[in-house]
Amino acid sequence: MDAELLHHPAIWLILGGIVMGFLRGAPRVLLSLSLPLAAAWLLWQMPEGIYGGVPFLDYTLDVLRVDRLGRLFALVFVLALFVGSVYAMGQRSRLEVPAAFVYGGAAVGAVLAGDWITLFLFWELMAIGSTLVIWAGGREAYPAAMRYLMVHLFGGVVFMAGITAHLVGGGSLRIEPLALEGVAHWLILAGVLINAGAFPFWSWIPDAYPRASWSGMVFLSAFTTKTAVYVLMRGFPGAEVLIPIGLLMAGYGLIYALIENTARRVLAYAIINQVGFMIAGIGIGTEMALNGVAAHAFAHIVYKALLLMAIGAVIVQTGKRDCTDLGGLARQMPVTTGFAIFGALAMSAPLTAGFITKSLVLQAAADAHLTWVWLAMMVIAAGVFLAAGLKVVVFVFFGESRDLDAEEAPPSQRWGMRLLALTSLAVGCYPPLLYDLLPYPLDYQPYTGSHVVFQLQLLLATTVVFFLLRGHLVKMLGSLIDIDWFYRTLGPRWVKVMVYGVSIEIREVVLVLMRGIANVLGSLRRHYGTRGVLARTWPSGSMVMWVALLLMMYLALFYLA
Amino acid sequence: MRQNALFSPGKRLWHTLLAALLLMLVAGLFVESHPHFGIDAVPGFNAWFPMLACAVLVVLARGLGRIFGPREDEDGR
Repeated sequence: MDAELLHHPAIWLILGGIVMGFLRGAPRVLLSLSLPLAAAWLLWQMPEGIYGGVPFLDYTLDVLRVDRLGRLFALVFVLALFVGSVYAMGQRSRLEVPAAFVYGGAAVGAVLAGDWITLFLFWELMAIGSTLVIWAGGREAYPAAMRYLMVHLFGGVVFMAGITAHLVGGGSLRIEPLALEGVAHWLILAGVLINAGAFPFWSWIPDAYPRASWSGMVFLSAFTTKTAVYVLMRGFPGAEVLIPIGLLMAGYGLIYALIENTARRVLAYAIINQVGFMIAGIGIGTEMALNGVAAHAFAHIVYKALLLMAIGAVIVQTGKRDCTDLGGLARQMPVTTGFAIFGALAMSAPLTAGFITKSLVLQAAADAHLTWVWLAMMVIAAGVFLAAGLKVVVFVFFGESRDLDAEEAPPSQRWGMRLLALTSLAVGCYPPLLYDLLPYPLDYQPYTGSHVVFQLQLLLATTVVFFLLRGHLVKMLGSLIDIDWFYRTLGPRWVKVMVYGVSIEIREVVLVLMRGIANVLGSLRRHYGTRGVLARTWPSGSMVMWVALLLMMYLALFYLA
Repeated sequence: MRQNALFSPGKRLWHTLLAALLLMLVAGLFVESHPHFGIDAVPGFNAWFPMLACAVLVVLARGLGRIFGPREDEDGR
């Protein structure tokens, strides 16, 4: 076993998370802030290479693989843990932040895993950690957490079946690109896609994430889907089937986000939309596209967490979650409003991270001459700015005040948002900060006249359309029936019909039997019970009569015989 | 409560928005661009295409909302 494994950042994060579970107050906060910094340092100074030599069954596991792609994702995850910890300093749940460290640490372990078995072990640990984070959201979150766990355990089983079949079939233990041939590789793809929120397993995201606490969803939005994106980049770059799968997710996320009323569910649908965008980019599969996907995973984590932090602050202040219950908070929470506006702009406006990352994927589609894919991605870019950016910000922070009792977010929450905004701004103003970390060499200049002007055209035109159609957007606020209807409404109903249908018959049979037994017992009691016919004291006269009768019967029998 | 008080952009915001869009449309005529597909060579493509797309999306979403919504379980609050 290599000594470098002692420096594995995931192991320290997970162990630290477990220790954190026994701490409270300042020590917990101190540990939650110092651990991610230590993990980032470990990641930074670790030379590229494969470390492992851990024996497991007949295999030798490469537990730790450090290369550009893995390091980038791990660094982003560590950043999300750090900023999330800052934001969650005031979190009173003793479970949430420690669970988030186990969850985030497992995600770091998964993106640094060199072989499929190690990846699977961290994959399952992520499912447990994230379920606990949702669980910490309170009583209302329990059922959603259990549904979430079911989906992920199912996904894990599919994933493991694929890995097992892959290994038994003589496949390489190391994580390398797989050709989509044979059941094994399709199973691996399906298992990963379930975690990415692809059709038909996408409703767990809007079902479970928004039920987490105000800070819980910030952690949740960062790790699971992006780890799935990472594994797809490793295992299936250029698999063309990913383009329609990704675009379908993006379209679905967009339509549902347009209709949804609960603010954080809108953002959950926007996660599906953006992960779909990334998956379509993986399907394009050129170096440019893969660079774009890795970069956009970073930008997406940053701006989505920023928006979720702003909405989380609103939930803490008002206790309300729906657009129809909120409005006009800009006066009471001006700083939070400013960060929310920046978060919406950070999706794709120049000088923010979203601008320099999204354009890479679009450029890759253009370079590959995929006209329809490129047009669809343009629609996604405009639509998500309208649905998740403008809609959430305007409906929550502007409009008529609802006389809600709210104050500005506390300093810890403001610091969380500030750090994210600064990160996005720094990367947006100086792209090499991010471009130099990307897996492939990149020759791309985001700030050309045409890029900036065309992007501003898109954003301004979308804003105009939003204000023109805002009446329609308000009227359709609500919730739509989703795929989860099958397992949350239809399934239980069907089970009820099945159970009661069968039990009615069983009940009939049991009733008849019971009645029979009761009759027998009743008659026995009548004859032999304490007051039964045969237990009563009888007068001697009647005894003599009964004896006389018996003797007469005996005589008659004797005579007849 | 299904009603949401509409945020109405004031005249000044409208004028700023439209002026900025117009400015960008004019600027778009002068910047050097590299159209890939033909359709993106049409002037103002990055403005009218997203506008059209968003309008279609909203209509589509309203239609779907009538068919599939609202849901009856606890999510349909």
